[in-house]
Amino acid sequence: MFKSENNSSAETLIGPSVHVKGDFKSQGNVQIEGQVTGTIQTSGNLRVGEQAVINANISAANAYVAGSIKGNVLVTDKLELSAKAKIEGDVNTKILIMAEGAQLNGRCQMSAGTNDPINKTKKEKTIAPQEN
Amino acid sequence: MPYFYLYDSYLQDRSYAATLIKLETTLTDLGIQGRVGRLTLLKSVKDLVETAIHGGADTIVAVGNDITLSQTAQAVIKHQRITVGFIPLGTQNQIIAPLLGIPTGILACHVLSGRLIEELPVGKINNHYWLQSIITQGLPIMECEKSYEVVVESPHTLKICNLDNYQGVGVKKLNNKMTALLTPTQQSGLGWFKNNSNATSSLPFKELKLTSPEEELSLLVDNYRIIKTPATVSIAPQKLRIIVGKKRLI
Repeated sequence: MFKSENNSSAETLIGPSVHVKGDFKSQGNVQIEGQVTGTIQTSGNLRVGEQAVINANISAANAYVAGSIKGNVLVTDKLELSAKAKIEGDVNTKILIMAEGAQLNGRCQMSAGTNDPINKTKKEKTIAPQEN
Repeated sequence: MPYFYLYDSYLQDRSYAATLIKLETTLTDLGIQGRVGRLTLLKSVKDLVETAIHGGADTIVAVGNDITLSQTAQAVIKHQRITVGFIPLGTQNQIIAPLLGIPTGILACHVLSGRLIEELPVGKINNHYWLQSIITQGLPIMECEKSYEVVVESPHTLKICNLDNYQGVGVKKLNNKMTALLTPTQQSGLGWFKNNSNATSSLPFKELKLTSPEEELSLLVDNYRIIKTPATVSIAPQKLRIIVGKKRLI
């Protein structure tokens, strides 16, 4: 499983001393131990470490979360939250595994792929000025 | 197959005389002998390579170390259908040879005669080509793929690898991408800088713009050339045709 994979399996590794700002896209596995602000999109697996602080909408095939996320999370297959995980945002996934102590503050939808929380947020943002 | 052998200037040292005689005998035995050009203060790699190609050579063999190969690659990359060979001699700056599966010394002649050819990506930094790596220390800001920025708050060592051993992280073959490795530099009590390899970040990219918030950073390109920031690092559209061994790691 992705949870048990070591650092070398991730094509991209964002270490604890690094801050990534903007739209981050990847085709492979991504491991985050540092800070990310913006959006994260990967067609591979995502691992969010205990020290990671993420202010971003996330899209991934599978995800294991042990850190803190502020933003919507779209996972097409399996989302696993460890005891120290903290998510403030909507979650859309096919399979959800939550450890005792994990925090999820937001809506949870168990039908990944039908509603894309990232695009939904973008649409709302672009439509809003026209309505005013 | 007209071969041209480009000898690095350090091979003029007497200690290499016997090895070079053996080398030339082996090349003749294998039927891959060719003209020889020697690097001197007055003859640059570019001049020698241009003359050799103009004279009909289609295989340029760098005889020396990683720097010789890198300089040869830069001179050859503009020409189509030219193949590069490598005979590593000496012990310093020999990181690329094992990656290409080429043994050091006379044994490399057998790899050369095997003519197993791979096409390798070559990097570009501003308008210059590079083959091995780019290294810098300080507070680099990296703008990757024109879509996201990587920022560090403390001094880091940045190593951008194309054909290198990734400082023990292991060789990774990525499709048309290079890897930037960012490692925090910790200052120990004596003022020496140490790398904390456990916290190394690894970022694959196709295009990267390097800047610095304060004074400009010096970038060490292929271990012999310095370029200052700001700089744009990307993958060259051309590929390098190079003769490799069966035991290559790439």
